[in-house]
Amino acid sequence: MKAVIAMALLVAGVCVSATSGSLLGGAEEQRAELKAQQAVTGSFLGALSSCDEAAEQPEGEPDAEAAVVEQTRLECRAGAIRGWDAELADSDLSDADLVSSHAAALATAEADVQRMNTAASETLEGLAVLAPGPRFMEWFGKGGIGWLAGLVLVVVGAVLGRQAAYARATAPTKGSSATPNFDDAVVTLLEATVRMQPLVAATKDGDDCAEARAIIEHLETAVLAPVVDDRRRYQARDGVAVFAEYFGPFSAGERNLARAWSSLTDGYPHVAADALVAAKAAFEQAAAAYAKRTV
Amino acid sequence: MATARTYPELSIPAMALGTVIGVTMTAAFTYIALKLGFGLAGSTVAAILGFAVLRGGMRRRSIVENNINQTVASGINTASAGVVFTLPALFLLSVGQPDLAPFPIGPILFAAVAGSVMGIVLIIPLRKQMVEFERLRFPSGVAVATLLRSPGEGMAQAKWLVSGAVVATALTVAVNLGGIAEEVDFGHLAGLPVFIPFAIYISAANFGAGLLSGRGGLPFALGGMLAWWVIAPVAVLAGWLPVPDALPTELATAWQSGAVHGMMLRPLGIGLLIGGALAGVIAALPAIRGALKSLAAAAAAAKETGAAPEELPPWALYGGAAIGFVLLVLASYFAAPELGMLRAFGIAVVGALWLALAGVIVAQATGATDISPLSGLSLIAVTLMFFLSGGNVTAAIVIGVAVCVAINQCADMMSDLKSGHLVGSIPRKQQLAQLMMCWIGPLVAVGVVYMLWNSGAGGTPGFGSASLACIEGAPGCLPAPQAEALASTIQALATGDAPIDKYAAGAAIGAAVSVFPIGGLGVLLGLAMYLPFSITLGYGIGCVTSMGLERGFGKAFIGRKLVPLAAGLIIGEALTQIIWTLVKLGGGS
Repeated sequence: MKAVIAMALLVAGVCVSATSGSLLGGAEEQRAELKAQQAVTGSFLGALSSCDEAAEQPEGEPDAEAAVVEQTRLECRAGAIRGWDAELADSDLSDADLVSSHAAALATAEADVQRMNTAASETLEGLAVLAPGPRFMEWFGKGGIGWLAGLVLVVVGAVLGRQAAYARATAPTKGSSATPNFDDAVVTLLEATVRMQPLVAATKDGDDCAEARAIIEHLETAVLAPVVDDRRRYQARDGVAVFAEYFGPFSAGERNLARAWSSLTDGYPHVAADALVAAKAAFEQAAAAYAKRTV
Repeated sequence: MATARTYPELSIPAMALGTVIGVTMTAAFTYIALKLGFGLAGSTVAAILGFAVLRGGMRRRSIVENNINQTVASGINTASAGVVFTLPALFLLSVGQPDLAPFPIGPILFAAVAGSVMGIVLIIPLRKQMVEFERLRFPSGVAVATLLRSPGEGMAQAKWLVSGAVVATALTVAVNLGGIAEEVDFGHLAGLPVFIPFAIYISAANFGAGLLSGRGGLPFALGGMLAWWVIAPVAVLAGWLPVPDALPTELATAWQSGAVHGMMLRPLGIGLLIGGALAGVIAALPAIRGALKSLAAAAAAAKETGAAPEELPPWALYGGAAIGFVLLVLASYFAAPELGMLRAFGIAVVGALWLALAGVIVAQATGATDISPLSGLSLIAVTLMFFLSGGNVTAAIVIGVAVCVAINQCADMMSDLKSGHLVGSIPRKQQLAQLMMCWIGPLVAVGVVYMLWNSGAGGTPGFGSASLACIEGAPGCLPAPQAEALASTIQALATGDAPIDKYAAGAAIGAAVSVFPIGGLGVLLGLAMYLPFSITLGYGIGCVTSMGLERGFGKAFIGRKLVPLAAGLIIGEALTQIIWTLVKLGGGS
């Protein structure tokens, strides 16, 4: 239950604080409005200009195709106007009628857009840029309360979450197959390592040892992976420093088992034998560190 | 076993092959990034070529040796994205400001190499934290490891890997040919307004990364929903992004939708990334301290027993950091001697601190999702340097190059170490291999950028919108879109228009959510706000699919079938995209 409340607080807190955090300060809002104007008018002007560019008469083309070029230009400009003006977008006028009947209006619109664009640029350039401190305070005046409230929810949720994780980590695990026991896993790994050593020692240089490799593959999925998947529980229970003391050697043992597997695949059993010795030493170290922690 | 053969790992053939592949990819990918505006990752290409040359041609059977080859190649190639995103902006700005030329080649090379070295040595101490304790997924790293392990995995898993690759190839080709839209816009079909997006980016690799991440990647998808289904509609409907009444409603709404991302979500997301990463580092300090202690203890034990340590010893990391820092100070000073040594030192200190933090952010983001917020973090680097240097463009970009290269190196090194963990490589050998060759990539990438800039006819610019080829619309046009964007941002910076309020608000939220006991939550939420929703949604579908399959078929199914399938999806798309791009460029289109 505590974990569910913690998660709910986290989600709510992040939503509130991030949404408030995204608010724009007053000056920034004005800047955004001008940038919007500039971007949209710019895109309209760009669309009209690209119509002209696309319809430029290619050199060496016969004059007879001039009409086609003009038609392309006309359709393109009509599309741009329809995109710009919502009222015209819904009109039943053909492209030709639209462009011809609105030629004067279009010229005025183009001039207006150009003027809006220039005015926006000039205002933007003239806007004073706030220093970091005032800029932060200006934003804080608008979104600060929500942001802080959200942060409080997140921190409360995090504290509850940590308590829930600790409670889960220290709960008795006997009888639960889902939560592997670290020392049982290490004992299994040590026994398997000892069992593999004579198999590997009997393998000739250049040969594979399929049986040992199969044992390692089984250990990887059935013993190592569940312990690794459960690492958060160990961390919550023991703290990161103590966890690191036994999980570091455990990981070293895991890597040496992988080395034994690779070298057996490649036909170097003596390297695999060394790797198994190293893995055994690492697992023993992990077991000792884990036992020390229990004491 | 009297005459035991040496198991090839950090070998001359692996280093040589990795260098050749890395140099070739760096030159090619620098050109491609100037042409198309995006970089390409080369780990999978290097691993496949490693199979062909080392295993096939030279009959050297060693999975870990191929891992070294791939580590070296990607370590060299990773500089191409770092350099090409930042450096060309200096060239482009010199068109309007001729006083920026001649370009300070020495400081640029110093900065790029410094970034390369520092990125590696600063991230190595976090290997235990990110790869062993946090268990970040690094989907591309897992994909490469699956590829490297394929000789021993047997036919069943090979079939899943190949199936994934075939599906990804077909999908990528179909998208590139226009047979399938790059984005399927369900929102448009359902009649939703543009500010409530519901589109899915069609990418097998993105879906595959989600499959590999499973439940761990879910906060990323939920963050996207929060950003685009809560904040964006509220902002538009509440009129927080006012537009002039004279503007047509449809155009105004479309603009608002873009502005919500550009002016609100993106800067807020960058803030969350910073706050989340900082809080994550602070929370992990005990583990990092423990990891550093174990590095020192392992080095001491190795000295006592005569055995080789598993990680690079602390003195090597401190030494590397010191060399990198000295190079950074020199780069900062010689890029703009008029600033004086004291200011140059200050700029280098802030640059080093930022590259360390940004490196952690990128490594975490890449580890959790395979997606890197490189552009936003580089932008902040250039902004910081621009202000610290009192508006000196050259100094800002030169240090920006170092930061950009460094954060790419962080992500690449950690991804390679993840692959190494899965195949059993010795981390020290991977770290040493990448450190030994990391200076090559910056030299090649900077050289290619210089060469292309000077290739313009009659002393005209060789790339960018002012180049002759681009003005004439010739096939040789290199528009350098990323650098053009950075150049225009630098011009905007001159007016002091940076969303500091959003960064600060986001950082506090990122730090607060990181207290919650879910690893990397702040970074994941920040990344979700930073990216377009279509990518987040596609990835999230992968996560949910993986969770459903795990529930239905169990963990063994995930390990033995879904992982190779997802790896195939990532590898297939990466390879197809690279081949497609090269063919397209070769055809001059």
